[in-house]
Amino acid sequence: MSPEARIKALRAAPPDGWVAFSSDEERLVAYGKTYDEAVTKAEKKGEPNPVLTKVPKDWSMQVLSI
Amino acid sequence: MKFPCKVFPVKEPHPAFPNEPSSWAPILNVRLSYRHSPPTKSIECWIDSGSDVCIFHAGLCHSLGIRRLEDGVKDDLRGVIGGPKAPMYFHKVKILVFAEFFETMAGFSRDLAVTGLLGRRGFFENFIVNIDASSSPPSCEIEKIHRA
Repeated sequence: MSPEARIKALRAAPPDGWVAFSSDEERLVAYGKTYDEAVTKAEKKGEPNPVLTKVPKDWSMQVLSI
Repeated sequence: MKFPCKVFPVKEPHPAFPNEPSSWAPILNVRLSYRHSPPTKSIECWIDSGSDVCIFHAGLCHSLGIRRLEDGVKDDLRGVIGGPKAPMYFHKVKILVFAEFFETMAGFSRDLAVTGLLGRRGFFENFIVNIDASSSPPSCEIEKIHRA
């Protein structure tokens, strides 16, 4: 996945949710409100080993989300 | 083990760097396990020498088999410079990095903005980290410290 595609996928992700990429990180596979939801959706889409990342409430990149 | 840094969006370009709508960071895929639970899927964690300990989002607890977050050792998660704080609970986990692993007491918080931080206690005790920001994309190299 190009840096541009990764940025696009992360910007499009629901805030405070989770993103699942394919195991080779070449594809966006699923979004989920929770880690478990993102994993389940990825598995249903045929990706048993997704790479998960948490999306902050916004991308100001503070450690705390409160 | 050398790997490229990963890109992430920024809310809005910093006034000092107005042409940069994104940034790079040393983000490493790791897996966690707790007691005899199967490991999590790969999760993207930030290598963060500024963090004293390893910290993970509490959303991973259910999958790890940590039934009650609050059963861990309580502390406060704080921002870099004072300001707000949030509860954090330490649990002993195993962190799997490529083919290596180590055990550490890691904090879990519902209020962590990202998936996880790999901090000095645990991660930096076990890996030498080099970041080469002169290349594009920047790269990161980690080397496991093998003690006799």
